[in-house]
Amino acid sequence: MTTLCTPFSTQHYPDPNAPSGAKVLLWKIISKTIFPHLPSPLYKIRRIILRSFGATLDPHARIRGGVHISHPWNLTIGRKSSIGEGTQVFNPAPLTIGDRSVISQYCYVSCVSCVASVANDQSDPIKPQHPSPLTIGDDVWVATECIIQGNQTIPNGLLAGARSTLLPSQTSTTQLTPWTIATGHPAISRRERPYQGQKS
Amino acid sequence: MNAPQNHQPNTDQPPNPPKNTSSPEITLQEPPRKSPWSFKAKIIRALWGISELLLWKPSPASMTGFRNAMLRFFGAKIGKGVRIHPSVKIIIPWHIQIDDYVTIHDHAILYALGQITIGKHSEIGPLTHLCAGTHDYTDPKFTLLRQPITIGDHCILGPASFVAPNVTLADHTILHPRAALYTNSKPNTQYQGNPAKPIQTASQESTP
Repeated sequence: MTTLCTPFSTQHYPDPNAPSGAKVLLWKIISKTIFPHLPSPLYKIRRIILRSFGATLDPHARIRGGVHISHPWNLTIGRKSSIGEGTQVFNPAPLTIGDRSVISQYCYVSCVSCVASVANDQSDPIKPQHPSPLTIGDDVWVATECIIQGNQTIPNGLLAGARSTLLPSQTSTTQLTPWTIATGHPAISRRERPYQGQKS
Repeated sequence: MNAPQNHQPNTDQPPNPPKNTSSPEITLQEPPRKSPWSFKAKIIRALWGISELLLWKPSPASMTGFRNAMLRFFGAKIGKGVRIHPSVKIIIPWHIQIDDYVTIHDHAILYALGQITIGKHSEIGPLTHLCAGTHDYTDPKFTLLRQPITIGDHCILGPASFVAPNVTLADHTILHPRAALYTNSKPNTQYQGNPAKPIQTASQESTP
C-alpha cells in the first residue's frame, strides 16, 4: 500500500468548496513537505493546520502522522474519530466521517471511483473517475490497508476487515448492512458484529 | 541498554475497563481514555523512531550487520545471516524475534505491537504486512489487543501478502502474492486469495 501515489493532477475536478488559488498552492506545498512528516503525537498542530485550510474537525478527532490529505476543505471528521498513519485520503468531493469511527493505518480512501455506479438518490449514473461524496457513519472500523471508493455511504457500525475493498454496491448481494463484519475483495457483509454498547 | 529488554509491554496491559452499556450521551462526558502505552515505552519508541529516520533508512542495503546490531541494541533477538532491507518498517523492535538466515525484502511492514516470531530460512516478500495488533471490536472503549504472530521454518510469504494478528504459520507454508491470511495455516500448504484458502498443487494431486 505504500506504493499508491496521489493522482498527478486534480485541477480538472470541479471543486466548489475550494479556497483561492494561492491557498491551494500553499496547501500543495505544505502537504508534500512538512505535513506528512510531523511526528505522530502532534495531533493538535495537524488539527490547527487542517482547520486553517477549511477542514471541519472535532477537537477530539485524531489524525496521525504520515497521512496524505489532498483537499482538506472537503474534510469533516466527527467526535473521537481517527485516521491512522500512512493513510492516503483523496477527496475532491466532500468526505464526512462520523463519530467514534476509526480508519486504520495504510488505508486508501478515495472519493473517486473507478467503477460506474448509481448516485445515492438513485437518479442518474455516476461516471467512472468522477468525484462523488463519501460518507462514513458512526462506530465504523475500517481496518488496515483497506481501499474505500467514492459514491457510497458506509453504514453505522460496519467493521471492514483488514485488506478488504469497499466498492460502491452495484448489486444487492454486495450491499453493506449496518453492524456487520465485511471482509474480502470486494467486501461482503459476512456476519453480525457483536457489540456490548448501545448500537447507534 | 537494558531497559528495552526488561520491558515487557505484553504483560503490563491495563485490565479491561468495565463494560459500558450506558447511553452515548453519558459516554461523551467521560474523561479521555488512558493510553495503553507506559511513559517509558513512549520514550523508547520515540528514540527508535529518530534512529530509524537517521540511521536505518539511509543505510545502504548491503549493511545488514549494522541494521541487525541496531535491532539487537533495541532488544530484538536476531539470529545469524539475517538480511533486512532498509525500507522495512518495524514499529517496535523489542517485540521481534528472528531466527537464522531469514530474509525480509523491501517495504515490508512488521507492525509488532505483539510478539512477532519468524523461524529459520523463512522469506518475507516485499510489501508484506505482518499486523500483530488489533482492537476489541465488541467493546465500546475499543481496547488495544496485542496478539502475536508466529511464522514457522522455511515459510515463503509472497509479495504484498498480509498476516492477521493471532495467526500461526506452520513450517513450509507458502502464501501466494496478495494473499490475506486470517486463520492458522497447515504445514506444507499453499494459500491464495483474500481471505486466503488452501489450494491443491499439481504435486499433491498426483500423489494418491
